[in-house]
Amino acid sequence: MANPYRLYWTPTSGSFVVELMLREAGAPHETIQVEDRRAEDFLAVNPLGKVPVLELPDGTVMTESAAMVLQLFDAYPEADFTPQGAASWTKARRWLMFLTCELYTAYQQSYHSEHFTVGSRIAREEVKSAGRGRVRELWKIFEAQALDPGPFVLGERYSAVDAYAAMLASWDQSPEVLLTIRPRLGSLVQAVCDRPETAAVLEKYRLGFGA
Amino acid sequence: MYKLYWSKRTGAFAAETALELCGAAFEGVQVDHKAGAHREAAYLAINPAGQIPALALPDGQLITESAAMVLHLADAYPDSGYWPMDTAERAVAYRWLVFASAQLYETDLRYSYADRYTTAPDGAEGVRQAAHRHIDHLWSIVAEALTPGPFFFGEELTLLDPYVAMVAAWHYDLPRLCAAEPRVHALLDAVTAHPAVGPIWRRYELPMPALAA
Ligand SMILES: N[C@@H](CCC(=O)N[C@@H](CS)C(=O)NCC(=O)O)C(=O)O
Ligand SMILES: N[C@@H](CCC(=O)N[C@@H](CS)C(=O)NCC(=O)O)C(=O)O
Repeated sequence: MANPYRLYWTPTSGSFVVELMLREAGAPHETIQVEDRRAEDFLAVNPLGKVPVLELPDGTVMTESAAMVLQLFDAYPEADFTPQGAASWTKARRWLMFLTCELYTAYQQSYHSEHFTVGSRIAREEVKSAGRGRVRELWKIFEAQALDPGPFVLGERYSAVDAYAAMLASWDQSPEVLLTIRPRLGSLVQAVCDRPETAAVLEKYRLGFGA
Repeated sequence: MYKLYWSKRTGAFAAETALELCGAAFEGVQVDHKAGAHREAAYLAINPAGQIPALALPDGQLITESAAMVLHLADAYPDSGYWPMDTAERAVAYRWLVFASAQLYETDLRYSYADRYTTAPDGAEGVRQAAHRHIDHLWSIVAEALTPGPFFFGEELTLLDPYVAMVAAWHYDLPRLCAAEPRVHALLDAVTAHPAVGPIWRRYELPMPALAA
């Protein structure tokens, strides 16, 4: 039998979307919780000290959550989460890249401001607040352009890009507020949460959407 | 026909090399980034985020995100030979393309537009310094993947190589990067020497590594 996928994860991290996909695909996998991202043995796996890291059945090691999504699309072309049709593919890749380059980074800026400035604690607060402002601005663009008409990025059909967006939304400082001011994002999140595998993975990752 | 909204020294370079290498018919529309044309109504109607590049597809669909453009073209021109077909190689290509876009490009933006990353009027310098440090660490990680080189897949150029070389050319101190990371330097040499890519490189006014070294 082929080796299982091996996913390195921590609670609340971007491993969420990868684990959800592995479960939805019924892919044999094991998950390894990283206790200390700065430990020598983990830095040997990913010198950036970040999760997720995914080891493929053939031993290839991947970093970058969006790259893992693309790889799982290739591996499971028939899965629910994989786009179908050329126009959908193009749209899915565009918004996946937008989410990972722009929004993921803006959330990192809010939560790991120490990586974004060499300045003091006060300087880090200023970086954080700029990050929060950027997050709000980016969701506005996403809702207007990616969720028109919605409910999913690809219209009526779900894809893993929606799960990626829901994951980022759950990282918000106040998800309830975000989903109220961005109601179409709220519907997307609801639809993702209604999928049978989602609840258990959200719980494992200690992610949620407030009350 | 594709329509690429481009400007010198932007990520449009990666999209244009992909169009060229795939043999896709396209027309370029230059947006004067230096003069702020990407912030004017005419361009915001095309891309409300005000970023360059943007690419209109033959069917009229408009896309943003340089890496998504590369992936789209790789998929639309499977016979071009500039994107791997083998599963394990594709995993490697996805990993480094996303890394280039989500890490390298994003970190470059942090020092290019440092004032946007802080609400403090005097905060930009601290942001810039952190970004400089961070990008040097990122390049040391990329260098590992460029073994044996000069490209990610040895002697075979893929759409990934011009993308990564482009971000390297934006480095805040290119001679220093080339000296510190000889494999990145070798990638730059090989990409700029490529007969199809070199001319685009020069048109986008990207610096030549040979002069830098
Ligand atoms: N672009 C990467 C970002 C990964 C990332 O930043 N992961 C966070 C957790 S969500 C992390 O490990 N941060 C720790 C750190 O930056 O030190 C991806 O999409 O996988
Ligand atoms: N993630 C985007 C980033 C695009 C981007 O930030 N482009 C820069 C030029 S390299 C830009 O348009 N900056 C103008 C601005 O933000 O004002 C991509 O990969 O296309």
